[in-house]
Amino acid sequence: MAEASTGVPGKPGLGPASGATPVETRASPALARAARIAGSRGLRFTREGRVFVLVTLGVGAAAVNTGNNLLYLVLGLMLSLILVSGVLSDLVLIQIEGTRVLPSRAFAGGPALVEIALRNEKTRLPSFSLEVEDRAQALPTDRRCYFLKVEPSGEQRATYRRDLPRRGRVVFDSLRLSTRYPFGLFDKWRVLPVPGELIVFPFVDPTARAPELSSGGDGAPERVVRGAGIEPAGLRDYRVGDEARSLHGRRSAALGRLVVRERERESSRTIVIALDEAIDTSDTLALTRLERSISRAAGIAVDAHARGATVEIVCRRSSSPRIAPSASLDPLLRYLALLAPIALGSAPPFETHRANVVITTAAPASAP
Amino acid sequence: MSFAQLHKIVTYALAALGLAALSLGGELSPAALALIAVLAILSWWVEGPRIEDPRWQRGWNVALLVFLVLQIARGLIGQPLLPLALEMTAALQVSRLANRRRAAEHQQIAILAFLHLCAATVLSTEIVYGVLFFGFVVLIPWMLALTHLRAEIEGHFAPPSAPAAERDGILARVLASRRLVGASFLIGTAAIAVPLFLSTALLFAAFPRVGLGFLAFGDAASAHVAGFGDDVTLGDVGLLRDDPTVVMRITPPASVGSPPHDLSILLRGTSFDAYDGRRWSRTFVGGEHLRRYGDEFVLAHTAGRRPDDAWSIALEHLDQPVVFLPPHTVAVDVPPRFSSGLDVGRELTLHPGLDLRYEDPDALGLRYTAWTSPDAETAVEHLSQEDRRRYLALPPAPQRLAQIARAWTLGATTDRERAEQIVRHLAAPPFVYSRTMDDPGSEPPLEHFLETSHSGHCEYYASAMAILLRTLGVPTRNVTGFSGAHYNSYGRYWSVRSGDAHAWVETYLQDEGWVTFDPTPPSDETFGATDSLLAELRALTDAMRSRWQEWIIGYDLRSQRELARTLGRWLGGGASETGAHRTSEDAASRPSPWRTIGIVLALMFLAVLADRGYRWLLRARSKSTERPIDASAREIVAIYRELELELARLGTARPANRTPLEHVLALTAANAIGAKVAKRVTDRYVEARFGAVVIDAAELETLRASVRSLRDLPAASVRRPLR
Repeated sequence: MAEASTGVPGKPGLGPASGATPVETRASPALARAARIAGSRGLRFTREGRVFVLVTLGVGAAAVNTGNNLLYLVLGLMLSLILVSGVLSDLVLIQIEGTRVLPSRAFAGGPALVEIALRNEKTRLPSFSLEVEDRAQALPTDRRCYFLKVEPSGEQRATYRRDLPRRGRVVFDSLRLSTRYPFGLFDKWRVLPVPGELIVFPFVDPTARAPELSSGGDGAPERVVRGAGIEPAGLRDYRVGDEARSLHGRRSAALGRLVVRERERESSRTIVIALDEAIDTSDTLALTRLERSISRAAGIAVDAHARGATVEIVCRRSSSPRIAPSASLDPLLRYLALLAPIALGSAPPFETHRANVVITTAAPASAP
Repeated sequence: MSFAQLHKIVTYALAALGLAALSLGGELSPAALALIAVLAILSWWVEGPRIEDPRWQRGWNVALLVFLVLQIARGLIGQPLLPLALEMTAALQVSRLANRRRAAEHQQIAILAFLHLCAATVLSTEIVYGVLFFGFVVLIPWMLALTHLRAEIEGHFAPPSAPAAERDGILARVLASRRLVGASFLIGTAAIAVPLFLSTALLFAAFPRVGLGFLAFGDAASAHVAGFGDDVTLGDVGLLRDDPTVVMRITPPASVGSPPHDLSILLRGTSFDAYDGRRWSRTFVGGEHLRRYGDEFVLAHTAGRRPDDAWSIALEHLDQPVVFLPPHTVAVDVPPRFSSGLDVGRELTLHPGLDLRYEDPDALGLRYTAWTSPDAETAVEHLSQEDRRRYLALPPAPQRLAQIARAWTLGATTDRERAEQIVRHLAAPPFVYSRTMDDPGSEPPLEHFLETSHSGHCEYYASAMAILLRTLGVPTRNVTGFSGAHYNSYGRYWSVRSGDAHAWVETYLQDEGWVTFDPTPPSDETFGATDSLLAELRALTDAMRSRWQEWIIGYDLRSQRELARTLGRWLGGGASETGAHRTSEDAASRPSPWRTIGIVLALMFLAVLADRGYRWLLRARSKSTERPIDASAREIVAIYRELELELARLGTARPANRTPLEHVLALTAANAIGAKVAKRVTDRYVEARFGAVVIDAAELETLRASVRSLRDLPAASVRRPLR
């Protein structure tokens, strides 16, 4: 298969820019409808709005005190501006659908590009000056996209970079739409429930290297064994059952018949990484060391996988899927992303007999 | 039009309205106004690098500081403070216009314009303020919206971390956009003025009034009309014949069906008893407050008979607070004025000579109703000896006048006949009406008029008749007031102009009392064309001004109560409150407004329902032919489409009459190239598309890669058969 489009092995990839498939999340129609009707809304005065209201009160006091009807006119105009502003800002916020497009792969310690799309369901009225805040649990809500204008029946997209400091599951729950249009007197907002989830893979330690292994694992000299592998061993005629990707198009065209590439089979190149997720809960630095261990394990796994090894990670309580060289490493990275620490006291024994690499939180990882 | 251009135009329009508001009331000198206008206009061309130059900004700051010091100094030396303050705010506005770089400066311009509007509320109450206010209502939504958008653009499109030149470049590009503020934005924002205006009117009407209807710093301008003070020089009245200023508006009484365009009426103001040969004066002193019965002041008792007509009169603020009375006025109804939320009854003072005056503390003029009863028998006023002496007093050397009087009244046996003969003589040639007078030189003006010129205006005719009758022993007094009124169809009232000021006489006849005689012959000189476009515009303007004065400037708690009452009557089906007023014959058959409102609302509701239903139907039809695609299935659909393209390239395209699964079976049976890939992709496609199975990203990527690997295979056109 094509090389994983996450960039150079060991380096965390970006989101949609890497070519990986983005994952779109949006509110289901029923949920969106319910949100339209009874979604949380709010209003607060801007600084200009507070000044405006104070001045309005002043004009009102002057009008009542002097009985000057022209001041009453001015007072009426100011109060009307407040009323109209409230109504118009509602018109800007209604019938706006929000969609979030998350990158399919994101790594801790790096940024991820998140795309926000707003669709204006109104057929005649544009929406001006919309600010969207993407809310995720346990992450700061300082990520905003600004939409100057969304045409009626139109869609506008914007992206923002979200820093992902930690691996794990990032749960997005909503988009907060706010506007100060038309007069900048109020900041009105409306929350759209747009749930989403992003699994943040651990930081891949670029210095981690998988150990060198002999072909048979028993000291036997390396020999060419025909099988599914990376290195081409030669060409032969196509047989039913051969994978289409093994076909050598140019030679087949030249020869006038279908020929396939034969590859070496790395029969003994399997890397098993034993990772100890148990920590001493009284040790304040244990979690930090665990994260480092996980990053190291990820680095070794990426390196080994890139070099054609089958990779597996074994922990005390569970183990990752065994990933063949031809398969995507994502399930293993996902495993590492969601790996939770366990208390040392209640942890099951740490089995390392199958492992080529052992990584613990108390000691540096050592290769057999 | 780009955003920047539109914003600039709107900014200048709003600033111009504010500066125009400052000019109301005449507090700013013409020189100051001209300078402000010139500087504001010149600032239009201040753009680009100059406006960004710190030296330019510093220069303006220094200039403002110097001007402030100058204004303080002028104030300290005794110049009026109000014009100084107005000049200072105008200077601030000009400086902002010349330094408008960012949204903040535009905000300051809007704030200053608004302050100018507020300041103008104490400068003038004329309808011009209403026009400026209306302009504000139209422009302020544009200004605020554009300024807000500009502030957002500056905040979001020009990151603070970027260099200044780069930021300016980005801003300039965005502000030059024509797509941001198109026709729909302009129309939509302009349409905001409608609810804004309605809401303002509603709030204005509803806000409870607890004070006076008007209070200003400056003196309210009063209309000057000669002839109603303590004295009048012969020739004063009548010189104002060309003045079209409306001084009074009369609403026709109910008895008048179709009001005539020109109403012939004498509205009596005051009278004069002493004539010294050139000047009439009043020698009476003192007056008495008329007793008030509720809001009514009785002038003549009508033996229980109710007055026939009610003339509603709105009198402008004149330099003399005289109450003008139509003929046969028996009572006057004057509503109280409001002061600090309380009704304060008006006081009328009756001076000798039927000179009725009112208090005018708020300089708003007077609204009153004059009740007339032409056929009522009223008691004949008794003329005391002293009054008789006053009304028979003659100027020095009246011999010639006496001779004329005797000559004109030969054969007359009664005072009435004498008066009528004098009227006939003055109405016949050689006497003509004229506003141009010869200089009488040393000759007394009346003698010159009667014997030499034979031409003059109303004052001469009235004075001549009064003195001639006095020489015959008939008590007569000179009366001034207004003659005639002209119907304003826009406002549905008769308007009385300054130029309608007139003089006539009242003669005391035995058993009849004071009888009115108007000796002035009709004039051939028309007082302005009444059917010209200018006259129409003038009438329309006056009607608007009248409404402005009544419903805005003079709007008070009583007006609110009346409005509420009217609204209540209207909503109640137009029933009369007391039954005393005449109602139309079809009042009972007129449908209740509530029913009309209900029908209109119901129709609107049905229209909205129909529209919603139609849209729902359209949506349902468009969706019924196609199963909606979930977001998660979109990717697999795209992959399957890619597969179909590759199969087509390989010569194994799916026919239209074959389902995906059928096609896969066929490919597998024929051992076709790509059959395995096709089966794997098709199976997952069907499961996800129709079985709601969710495929994770990793598998999607695997499937996509499988499909792309088919590209390595040669196309069907170049493939040679296997040997």
